[in-house]
Amino acid sequence: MKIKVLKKLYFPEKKSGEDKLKAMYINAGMEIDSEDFGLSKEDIKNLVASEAIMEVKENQPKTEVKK
Amino acid sequence: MILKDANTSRYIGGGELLHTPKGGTERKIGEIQSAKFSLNAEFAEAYDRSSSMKKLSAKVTKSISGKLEFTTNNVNLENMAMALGGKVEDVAFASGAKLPDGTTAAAAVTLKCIKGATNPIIEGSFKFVGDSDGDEKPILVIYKANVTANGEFNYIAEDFQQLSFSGEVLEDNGKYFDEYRMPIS
Repeated sequence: MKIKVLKKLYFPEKKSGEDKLKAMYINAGMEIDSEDFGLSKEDIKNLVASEAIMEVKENQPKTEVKK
Repeated sequence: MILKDANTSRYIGGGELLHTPKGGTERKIGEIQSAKFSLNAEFAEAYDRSSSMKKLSAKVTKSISGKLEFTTNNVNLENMAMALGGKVEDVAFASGAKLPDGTTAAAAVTLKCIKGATNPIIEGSFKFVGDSDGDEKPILVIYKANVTANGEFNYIAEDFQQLSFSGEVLEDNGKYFDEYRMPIS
């Protein structure tokens, strides 16, 4: 799932599992794929609730401005 | 290290300081910059004043006390906790929680935290083990001491910061302190 980061995020080090990650920060304004960072559904739910991220809808129809 | 010849023993060098907190396990303080031990004695004196010039007629030891002082460059969690008079605890944050640096936890994380001023007196035993470069090494065993941090810690630093500690040696079940000598080579 593509997400837009609204608040600077801290990703803690992930030592186990397939997705081994070093601790890192992602700045607000970035768009990332949640799977690349090993975010679980629970994490996404909590981050949306705390207004730290928002989901980016794929193929979202653009609003046309009528002249 | 102690360098020995037929007549003399000379001391120079370093070593490491180990601390066993009360009820805990022994650990190295690490990267010790200084480790001083001093002994102070107080006396009661009696004078014969039968003439214009008083004369010392008796002298007894009233008290004896030992003092331990050390500094270290090693600002690991345990040493920093001693310097801040605190204890190390784990603090858990869920995903979405605001972290101490103002960022948001992307996933659940547990951070180490020194709870300051919760443990201002560091109790336990200390042991200085001299380096093994010479002919002999001294091992000073202090069975019980109460140590506190002194000095300051500059968080904006151009030089490596040192943690400074000092405290009193206490008697522990009749034992005070001992220095062992171990021959090397």
